[in-house]
Amino acid sequence: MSYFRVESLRVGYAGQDVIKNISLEFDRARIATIIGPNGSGKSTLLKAAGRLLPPYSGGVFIEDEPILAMEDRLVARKLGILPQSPTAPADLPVHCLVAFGRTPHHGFFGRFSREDQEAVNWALEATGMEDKRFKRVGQLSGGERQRAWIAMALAQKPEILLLDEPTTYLDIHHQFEVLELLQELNRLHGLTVIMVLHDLNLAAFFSHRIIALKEGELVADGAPQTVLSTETIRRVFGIRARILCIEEEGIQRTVAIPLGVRS
Amino acid sequence: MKGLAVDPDYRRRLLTGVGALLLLTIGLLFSIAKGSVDIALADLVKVFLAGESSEGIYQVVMNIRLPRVLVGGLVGINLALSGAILQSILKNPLADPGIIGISAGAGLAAMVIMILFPAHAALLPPAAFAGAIGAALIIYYIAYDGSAHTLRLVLAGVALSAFLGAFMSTLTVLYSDRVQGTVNWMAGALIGKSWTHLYMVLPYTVVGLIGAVVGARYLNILALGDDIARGLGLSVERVKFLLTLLAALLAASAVSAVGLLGFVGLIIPHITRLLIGSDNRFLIPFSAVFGAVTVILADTAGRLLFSPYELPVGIIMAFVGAPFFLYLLARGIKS
Repeated sequence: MSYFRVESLRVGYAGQDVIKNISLEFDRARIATIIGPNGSGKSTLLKAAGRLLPPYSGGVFIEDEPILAMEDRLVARKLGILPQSPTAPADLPVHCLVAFGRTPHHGFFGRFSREDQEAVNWALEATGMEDKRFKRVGQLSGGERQRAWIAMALAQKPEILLLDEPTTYLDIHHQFEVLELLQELNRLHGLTVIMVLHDLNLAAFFSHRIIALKEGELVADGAPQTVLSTETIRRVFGIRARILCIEEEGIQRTVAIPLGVRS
Repeated sequence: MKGLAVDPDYRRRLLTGVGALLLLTIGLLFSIAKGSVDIALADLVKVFLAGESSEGIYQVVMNIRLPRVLVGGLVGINLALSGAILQSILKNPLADPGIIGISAGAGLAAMVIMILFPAHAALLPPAAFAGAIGAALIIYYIAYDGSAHTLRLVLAGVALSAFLGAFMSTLTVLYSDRVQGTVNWMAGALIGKSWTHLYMVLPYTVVGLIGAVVGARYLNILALGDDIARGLGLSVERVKFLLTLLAALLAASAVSAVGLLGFVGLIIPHITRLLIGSDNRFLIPFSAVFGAVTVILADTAGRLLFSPYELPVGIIMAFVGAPFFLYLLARGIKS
């Protein structure tokens, strides 16, 4: 039995295929990152996996159950998805935004229980947003806003969390903060993370697995050390790069240093 | 829910709520007291409490002014709710049943019944509802592709309204012997509204108000965007469809009672949002109250301004609403 998988997925917009027949299996409690150039179909793949886009053919399965056949709320309790730069009413208080994450748990009419409240508090704390809980979304900086949305996704308490570029708008400090948070949730709570990132080195540093896409097709898939190669980077992004393996703070890291486009 | 005491909005909502209800009470009394015959407050109290007064005043209050004012209030509620729902689900600040053509659809259907089947007046609301749905479907089909560009929706609505309006004008010309009252009706007037009209609108207001208050939670989640809403387990398409039906029902019942009364659904949600914020759990009920107040006061103004002539309430609303619409349009284009 596979934990989470997309199978022979063909999906796109307005009849145009963006993702051309991709099958992937994801293991429980792992961090997988999708990389690829603009227009390679990263976001489309993520949206289809999070059932925001209906596939033309193929399917998405949680523990072998097709998610399109499952009840929406049930899926929402297992699978959270945070699209790229979502928007909320500017006057929405942060704690209310985070509380929306509890929707699949208490239903649309159920009362907000102690458990719901605890989940909201935990999510605010985990993202370092407790002191901003009464701030309005419109008053937040880009980084704070991103963390508020992640807090909402965390309050949902999903087993699998899909994130489309969770580090956009963030400076390097906040980028690390967000990714370290996901890593910690992965280690402590067994959260399965599938995300889209632009930065190859962040992807390599925080992921168990990297999936490289180009023009809607799978180019490479595996551990960061194997995917991050001069050859793959040239094929996927069309740039020259040098790969370094360094050991810092007792951890082996693979680092790609881009050298240039023109040869 | 939680933390009401620390929520800085709580006081503002409370004050606005008290103010709105006060305004509604004053508006109701003022509107009943003022007109071609002014009625003293003491006489009003006598009519309501003792059920007696000099016979003439009792008649004026109970059979002319009161039903008229109450019909105005209900219609105001329905139009304001319809506008608030449409603005929310279409994510379009210019959405209003009058502007996007839903009222014209309801109006044409209602007019067909009034002129061609005058014996079946009971069919008015359901026919208007069918017309409103038809117009909504056309608009969705033409101008909506998941995001509904603001101006495209408005332009399509203007064109559809003009097209349906042409049918209405044709009807009035072809059946000019049967159209006394349709001039008032095309402009949206409350003159001559009786208890019959009140009972006709009331059930729709009740259903619409309950539906909108229940729907407010869904509207709040839809405000986060379709993707987020779907991710949270909301059946976005189904919810939007049901809420559109509700908005059409509310607009249709208003149109079948008083005709093409525009701009209420545009202005009221905007002003209410400025006062108490965009949380639909509050926006919906407050819009209802402000909608009622606005129509009642506008109708009173229409009665008093050029007395003994009476301006239909729809004309007063157009005087106020059209500039407001232009203001929103200008602001939208700049940003």
